[in-house]
Amino acid sequence: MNIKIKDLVKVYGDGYKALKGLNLEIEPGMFGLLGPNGAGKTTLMRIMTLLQNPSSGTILFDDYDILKDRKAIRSVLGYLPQDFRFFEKLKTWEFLDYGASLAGIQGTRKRAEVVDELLRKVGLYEVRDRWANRLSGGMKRRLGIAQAIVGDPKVIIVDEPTTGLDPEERIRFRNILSDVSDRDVIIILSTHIVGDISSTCKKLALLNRGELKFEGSPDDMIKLATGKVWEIFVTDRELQEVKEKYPIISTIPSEGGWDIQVVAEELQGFTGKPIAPNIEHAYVYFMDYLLQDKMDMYSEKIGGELFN
Amino acid sequence: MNLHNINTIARYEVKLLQRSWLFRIFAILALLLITGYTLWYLTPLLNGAETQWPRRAVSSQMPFTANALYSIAQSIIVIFLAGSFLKRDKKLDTAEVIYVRPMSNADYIVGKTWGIVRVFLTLNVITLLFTAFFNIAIARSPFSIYPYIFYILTISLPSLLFVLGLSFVAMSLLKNQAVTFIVMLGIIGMVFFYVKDELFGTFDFFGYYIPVTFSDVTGHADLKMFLLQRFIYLIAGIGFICFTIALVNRLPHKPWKIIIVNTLGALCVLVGIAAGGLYVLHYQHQLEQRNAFISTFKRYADARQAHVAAHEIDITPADGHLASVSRMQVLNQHPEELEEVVLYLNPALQVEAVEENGKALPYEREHQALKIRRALASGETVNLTLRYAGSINETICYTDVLEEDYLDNSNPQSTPVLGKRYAWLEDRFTLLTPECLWYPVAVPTDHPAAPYRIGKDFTQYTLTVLYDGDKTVLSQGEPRRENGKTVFTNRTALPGISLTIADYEKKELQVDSVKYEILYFRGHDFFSKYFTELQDTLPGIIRELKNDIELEWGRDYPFRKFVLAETPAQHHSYIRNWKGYTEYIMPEIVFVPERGIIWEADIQSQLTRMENWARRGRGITDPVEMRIEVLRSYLRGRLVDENVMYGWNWEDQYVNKFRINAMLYNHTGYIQSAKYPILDIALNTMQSSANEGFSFWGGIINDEQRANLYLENHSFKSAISDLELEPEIFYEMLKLKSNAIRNYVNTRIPKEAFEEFLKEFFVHHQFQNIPFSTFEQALESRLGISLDEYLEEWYNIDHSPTVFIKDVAAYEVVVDEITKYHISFKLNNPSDADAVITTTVQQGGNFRGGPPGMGRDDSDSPTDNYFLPAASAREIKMILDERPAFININTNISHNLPTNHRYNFSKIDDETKDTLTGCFVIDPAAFNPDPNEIIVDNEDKGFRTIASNSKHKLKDLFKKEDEEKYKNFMPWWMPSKWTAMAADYCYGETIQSAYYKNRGHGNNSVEWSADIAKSGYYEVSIWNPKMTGGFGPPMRRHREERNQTYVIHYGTEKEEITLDMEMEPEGWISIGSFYLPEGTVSITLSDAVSGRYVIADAVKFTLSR
Repeated sequence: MNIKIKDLVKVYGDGYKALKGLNLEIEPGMFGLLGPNGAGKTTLMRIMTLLQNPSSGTILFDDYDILKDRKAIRSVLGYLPQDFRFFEKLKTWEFLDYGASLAGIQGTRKRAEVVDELLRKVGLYEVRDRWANRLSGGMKRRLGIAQAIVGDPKVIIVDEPTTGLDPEERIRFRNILSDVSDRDVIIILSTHIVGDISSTCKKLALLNRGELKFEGSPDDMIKLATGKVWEIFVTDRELQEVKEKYPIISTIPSEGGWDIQVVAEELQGFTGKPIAPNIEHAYVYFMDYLLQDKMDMYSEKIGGELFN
Repeated sequence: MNLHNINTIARYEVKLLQRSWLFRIFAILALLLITGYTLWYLTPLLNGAETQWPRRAVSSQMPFTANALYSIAQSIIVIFLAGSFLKRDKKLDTAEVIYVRPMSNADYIVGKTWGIVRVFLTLNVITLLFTAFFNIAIARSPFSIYPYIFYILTISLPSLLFVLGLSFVAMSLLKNQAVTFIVMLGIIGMVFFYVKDELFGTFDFFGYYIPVTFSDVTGHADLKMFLLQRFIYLIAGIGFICFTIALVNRLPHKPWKIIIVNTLGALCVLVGIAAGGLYVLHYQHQLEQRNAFISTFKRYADARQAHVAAHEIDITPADGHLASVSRMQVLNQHPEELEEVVLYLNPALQVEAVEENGKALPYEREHQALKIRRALASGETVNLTLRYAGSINETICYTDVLEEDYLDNSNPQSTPVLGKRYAWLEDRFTLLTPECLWYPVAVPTDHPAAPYRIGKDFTQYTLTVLYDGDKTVLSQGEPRRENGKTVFTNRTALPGISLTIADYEKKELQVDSVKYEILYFRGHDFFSKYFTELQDTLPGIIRELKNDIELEWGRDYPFRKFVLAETPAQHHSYIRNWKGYTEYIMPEIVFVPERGIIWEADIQSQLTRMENWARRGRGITDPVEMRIEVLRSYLRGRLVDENVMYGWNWEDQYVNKFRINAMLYNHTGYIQSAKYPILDIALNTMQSSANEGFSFWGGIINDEQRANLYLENHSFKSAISDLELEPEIFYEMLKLKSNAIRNYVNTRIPKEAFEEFLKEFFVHHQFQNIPFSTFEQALESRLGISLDEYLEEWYNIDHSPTVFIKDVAAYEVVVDEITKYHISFKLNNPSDADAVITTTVQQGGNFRGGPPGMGRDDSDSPTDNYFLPAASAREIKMILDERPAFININTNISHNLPTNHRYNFSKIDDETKDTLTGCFVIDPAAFNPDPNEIIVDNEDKGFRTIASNSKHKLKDLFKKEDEEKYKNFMPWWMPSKWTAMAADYCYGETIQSAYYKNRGHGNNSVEWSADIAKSGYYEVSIWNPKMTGGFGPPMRRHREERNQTYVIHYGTEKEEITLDMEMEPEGWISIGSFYLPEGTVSITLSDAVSGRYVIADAVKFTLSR
């Protein structure tokens, strides 16, 4: 299955343009959707999951148009929203059973098999009788992904899946997803945790202010940043100066000062050695230099989670 | 729509709902509520009152009551849940994983609805299982599974869907759970309390105020209309659910489906509205028809009526249809020729032929009226044969009843609305009474133009019923069965006959000349088991009861048969003052609706109560005696007592619809008077209440007093055309007026002589119309009394006299060396209307306790009547052999409040030499006020109440202005404003009243002021109105201090005197002697008192000599 996003525009009631004529093609495999907050990722996903209408343009799932063929599209979709909670009074297995039943799996026994298999796959079989809202954060997320993949959907849309998870859970989560992506499905992973993408996605798109800014493989993006990431040693005084000039990616205290990594087209007034960029570096470079959209590296949200 | 999806959503909605605390709490409360209600109100387990009987006499009552209660509780919780259901979905991310699934919006909403409905219906079934268990196990109520299922489907389900749908829509539009909840509660409240009766109950979506009861014999009163009304809410509910599908916040599979769903919703709601329209039209049509019938009656109101001397009816009843032949002997009794013969027949009966000796006569039909073009010379008799067939239109019945009453479905006894039926013509049951005009008559049953001008026609009836089935055929007269028909022949002429064909079982008993029968529907014998032990004594009990009644009413039972016949639960009849009886009371037959549903037929409860008494060492202990007593009081209470009480409030008395006095009076003769059309009823009432004493239970503001107040400024003539007067009040007025005739006659001749005359006269003229002139002439020639002049005033006077009583005293007197007792008192009537005073003396020492008038049949309490002409005064003197305990002086219809005054003679120490007895003229000047005494009563100009301007409470705004000025003193309820009360312990020359209110902070007060013409020392007294002993609600055991502070202002002085009213005796209490200067003196009393209430009556200033 292919997804074609055509001239997608979304203007909210208050005049805010969340999407400004987006065009994008997505092929089977894991697809990363990157972008800072407010880039339009969530709007795009909500339109894709038919929770919202676009203002103009459309999205085609093969030949199915989101404006006309909603039933067909809904039957190939799996969705895990960002801040996902559960009905208070359903057990873990029931929640999955509910999703499975709505996904069209008929017959109690058959459904029980599917549900149990999925629970095993996501490692929740032991807690199947626990109230869903009593699960730990990671378990909840796993249950979330389980309900998103129940019924073998052709398109799985996952919004910020690893936010707030510890590294172990995050790896588990990625593995579940990669497992699924072996099949002929599209997994769209929206995130601002760039690391999630480099390790799983073959392709990614970067959105900013409702527009597509980059589309390609993670490697393509890294390539763009080659030679633009530097490691320098600075004193306390110099650190302040650097801070004002360049986005700093990491700061490690060293004898008499700091070993820092910065992103810059070229270093002026400092000496440092260029280092091989990774996807995070590429992202920062991209945002700061190519889009001229300076990122606030110290804001809590990004600073806290971007470079894990 | 996809069933799998719907089921899935429903299944999980059920789980979520069942697991929510709100629902669980509701479920437990609902179970407790229904169980508690069932046990308390519907079964005799916790509450032995007979008043429950109407709630369980037929099999549909218990399920309906429980179901209705559940339905209301359910609605409230559904409103709440409907709000939270949509709110729950607002926790977006949870709902979104559901919303991305491939079900349609319709699947989703229908699934949710189905889930909710399933849960509530399941709970409904569970609660009803409890009720059913009690129904079978302990309620002594017939059980049938059918009403249980029926009400779930027709009451619960439509109201659930309607409330759910409406709440969904409201929530979708208002988007706020709290606002939705309040709006929906408002709608429910409005329907429940305000518009319930509008448009024949169309808006009553609970089905609470429309007829619901099923007769175990004939089913529902009007099933089609009931189902139509319920359909309105079922379909509208579905419509609202369609709208919810369109309004749900999720993109539809196909956008155009919204149009379809909205159209479907609109269509459903429109169908609902159309159904509502049909429902309204049906009843409107019925009313229009009724009005047409009324017009027809009115059009012929003045037509001279022929007299049907004899009438042979051959009737062939079938299911919903009858065919009859009437052979009538029609006579013109008028001195003038009748141009045509006007008869009345049910408008649904088509006349096929009118013949005179085989020759067809031309006729014309106008609704119920049948005009036969055949002139009838004065005195001429014609034999007419009428053939007619068709059905029975019940709308012809009771055209003389106010439309408001006609439409009123409520019933004081039964919460489930029974519905009203007046006639049946069905395979399973037939009931035809004269009211439905099932055979032609010359005198119409109703006279809506002037109800009291209703006439009667005594006809010799012979009825032949061509019915060959197994059911019992019942009518007046002696039945004779022959070749598939039953012929009823009557010994006497009757004012009308009825026909009943039913699957009856029978109990019969011949006592002396009368055959007593109880005809009850097969399987409905719930009563005889209580009296099996009385088999041998039964004839004796019946004989004794009959004799008592005959003695009491002064007439003999004129028929050979006395039948109690059961009719379906919906059989309804109205109290019509102008008829004097209901259609339940026919000659020879009393119709009793199913299992005595409005008859409080719970014999077991009465037995249990007596057994409980016996256990506490009171009353009868012998079980047989006990049963005799129950039977006797039961029959008296149902068939003889004039009022019945439904519940415990003695103020809620209703005219007894089953009182059989009509069998002795109304059905046996008729006094015809064009001038005083009410005279027949009045004379009957006068006789049937001949031996009643004065019974004042508790307060003095009762229906009798209300009737008296009405007559203060209305004539009796205007009262009889005042159709809005409550029947209970009118009935009391009728009694007052009827008794006035007797009292008047008794001022002239002894009571016994008059009673004897009456009995003889009416027996002599039994079963015929008697012109009033005949009665008058007989009275004059036999007793020398002319009523002519008296009745003129009796009928037309529009005000009443005021009577002052004073100097009531009792002495010992020695007559022929025997000590006797002498009572004297003075009466003054300063008004321009004549008064009649009735006195009753209770003899025999210190009679204490018991309500006045309790000793009804005390033969040793002589009653006398005294005529007190306008503007005159009298002194009454009487000598008694035994020591009098008290005297009751009744001023009858008068400007007095109360009209009955009781004077106790606790001490008789003085002697008198006066041995005169009788009524002596005295100078009215004896009643002139004492020049040395000034009394200011609360009725006087010098008295005023001063109310605080405190803010009105919200509840005051909703309180209806009470029209009644005087209230009874209620120890358990204190008014927050100064309220006039009337009681015989209050001061007042003619109006014995006072003002009272609850304790306050001194912001409210009263003031008595008087002009002192001559300065000097005055003794100042206040009247302490205090209920001492006697009969009343049990007062508090411990004494409560009731300090009231009186402040006297005179000149520039001010003095305070505090009295404990509870300690002081009743009557005048001196608060001291004061030197009062000329000018105004005033006394104030504020509501800052120490007791629970403050009471202000009268003050007195007496100049010291």
